[in-house]
Amino acid sequence: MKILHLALKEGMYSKKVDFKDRMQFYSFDNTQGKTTAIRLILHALGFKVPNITGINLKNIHSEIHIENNGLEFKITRSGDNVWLEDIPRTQRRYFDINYQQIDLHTLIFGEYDIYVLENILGTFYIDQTKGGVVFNRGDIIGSIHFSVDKLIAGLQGTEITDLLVSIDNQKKELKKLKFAQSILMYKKEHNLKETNSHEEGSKYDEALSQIKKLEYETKDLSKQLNNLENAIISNNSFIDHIENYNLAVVNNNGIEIPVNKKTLKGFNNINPVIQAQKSILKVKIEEKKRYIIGLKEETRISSGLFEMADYQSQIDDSISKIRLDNAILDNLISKSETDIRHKQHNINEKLKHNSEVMQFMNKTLIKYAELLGVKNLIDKDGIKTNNIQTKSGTSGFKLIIAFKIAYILSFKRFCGIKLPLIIDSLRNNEVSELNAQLILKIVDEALKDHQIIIASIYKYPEIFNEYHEIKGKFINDIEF
Amino acid sequence: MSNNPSMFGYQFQADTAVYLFIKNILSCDNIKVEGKFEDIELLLSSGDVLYCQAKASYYPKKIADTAKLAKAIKTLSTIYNNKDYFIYATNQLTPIDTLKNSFDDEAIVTKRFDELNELEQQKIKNYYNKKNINVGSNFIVLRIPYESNVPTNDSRRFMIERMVSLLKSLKEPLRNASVIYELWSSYLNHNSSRDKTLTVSFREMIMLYHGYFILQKSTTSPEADLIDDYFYDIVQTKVNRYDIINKIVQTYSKSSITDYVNNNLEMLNELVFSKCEEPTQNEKIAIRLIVQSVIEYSDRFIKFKEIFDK
Repeated sequence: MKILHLALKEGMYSKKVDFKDRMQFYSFDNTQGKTTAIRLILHALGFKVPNITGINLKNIHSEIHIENNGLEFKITRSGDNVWLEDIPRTQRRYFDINYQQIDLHTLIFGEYDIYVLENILGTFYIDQTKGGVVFNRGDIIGSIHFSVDKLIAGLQGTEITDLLVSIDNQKKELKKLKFAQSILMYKKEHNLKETNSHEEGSKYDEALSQIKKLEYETKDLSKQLNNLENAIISNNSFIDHIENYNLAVVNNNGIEIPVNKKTLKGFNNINPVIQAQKSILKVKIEEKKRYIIGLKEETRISSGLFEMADYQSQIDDSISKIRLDNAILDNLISKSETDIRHKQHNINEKLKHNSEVMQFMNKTLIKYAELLGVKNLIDKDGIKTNNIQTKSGTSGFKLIIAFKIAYILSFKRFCGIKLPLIIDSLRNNEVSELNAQLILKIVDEALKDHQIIIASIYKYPEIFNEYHEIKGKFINDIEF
Repeated sequence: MSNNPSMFGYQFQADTAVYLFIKNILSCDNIKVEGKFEDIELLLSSGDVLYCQAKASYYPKKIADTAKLAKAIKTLSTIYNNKDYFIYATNQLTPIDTLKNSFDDEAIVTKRFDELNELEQQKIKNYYNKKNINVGSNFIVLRIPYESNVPTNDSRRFMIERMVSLLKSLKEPLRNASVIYELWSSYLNHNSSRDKTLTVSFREMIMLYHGYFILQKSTTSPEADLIDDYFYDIVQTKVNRYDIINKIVQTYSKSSITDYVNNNLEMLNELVFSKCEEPTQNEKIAIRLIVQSVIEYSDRFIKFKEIFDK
């Protein structure tokens, strides 16, 4: 997949960029819109990236042209609305990105496996802050997650959904248990004695729950009021519609009677009944609001006079009512952790079994790690290593490059898709110029027929003989 | 709600207004709370006006509040004539002793001026601004048991009970009389505190009654609990749509509602949801709720018009 052209609009400002196979966004210093440029590319491609300082992505209108295996597409995005066209245009499809991101990416990338599509960004994008940390699992950018297990399962068609769902549920349970355990520790540290949870709650608790209940009821009544407004609007447009026809009927005496709101049988009864319902609701809302104000005054909730000390004793009071047994919690936590480990092991076994994908990934990883001089950092688990904490700085960055090359080449081999490599800030991780050149040289050779896009404050003319310079804000052209 | 003397006073005034409205339900055209001349004014179909000064004492059994009586009578006397009705409504047993019922001090007691003893008549005459007028039987003293030193609902319980039995004794008994009483009272109370010249017509009072039932039927019937918020909103909106009401009323023949819905499902589905496909379970419940509400409402409306048509 290659990006050919990007056009952006933000209010009166616009930006157009033509892309080459080797594309660098360059700026003189580090504060000038490079990350913005990269994120806007991802946004235009239909990924949910977080907002960038100074830019609300909802206000951006983008058009991006891409090419994938001989097919050319134009993707137009405005907020959460996306339109995909093939070029020359024969079809146009609409997608709501909140619900149809996977559908959009299926057509762009020509790949149907949901695990592959969910993890596609993590294979070809290295983020400025998180890029050097995420090797094979974790958050790539914002809330977009990457999991090498899912990627391998998707690429080779191994069914692991049941196990993943079960692990996910168990992790939630475990979180709950650990939270309960921390409550116990708090009780111990603060020497809180257990009180009966059935004791009458404090006045504050009662008032608070009553206020919540009343606020909920008020909201519900306001919604009902709104429904009635809608009914009035419908009735008015109905009668407007009828009156527009200038209809008339003739009675037995030959007298012509126009059809309007005065003569339409029963019409004059309907709005007064709706108004009456509105009055009832308004009275109820008003009564509840008065009651809420009274309660808030009583409990000092609204006046902000609730002292920190009061509130802390409130917290302690609530916590002391919770009854938990440490021995039971310990037991459940250890059981749950063992179970998760067991299921994770099952996934590993399933993925490893006759896995051509994993073998290829590991082989490629080793090859490029060796070229980059970091082969010694790869442990026995290879592409699925858990030991990622210790790998930072230059060697960590080299390693992440080896991982990405392994992913991208696996994609090419098993899906036939040539993904680009996008790196936001090459030398953010104490990488020296020499090392940066070495890394780019190896990437250039490994991904000969792939597009490579980088953002950097240093120039690399041997590889990127053309670059797009950013001065000030990224979107800053004015069209006349 | 009447947790201070001022709110207590408003509540008493609204309750008295509802009491007078119900007592005169067949002849009342308009009701005014905090009217131009008096606390409450009822305009009757005959053209006569019923003026009322409603004065409640926060401690009715402890303090004989002669000042309130004096002020009320003085106000009434400024507009006194022989044609209209003048009512002094109070929650006190004193200073007019004959209001005290020896058997039941919780009863609502009404005494015409000529039924009061001489001393009491004299007392009232003393407070009159115009000493020369001849007060007749159109001057009425009304005593309503109403206390503030008991929880509010309790202090109004006797009044509500009396009103409910009044509403039930009508030719066409009003269902949910206690709810309707509360509804009218809170409506007058709420609006009179905002609008200094609040006038409510008989028709509006009756519409409140209908409106209440439509709200009840479409939002709180047990079947409404079976559908989610989306359908709940649809029911509430569509049950108030003229085109839908009209179509249902025109096509409904005295069959059972279930039969009517089953036999006309296709038409109703198109009417309510504008679609031809088979309705879902939720859609069926919503249709049934709408039909039920419309039929019951139009039925009650017709009966009500027969009794109270003005």
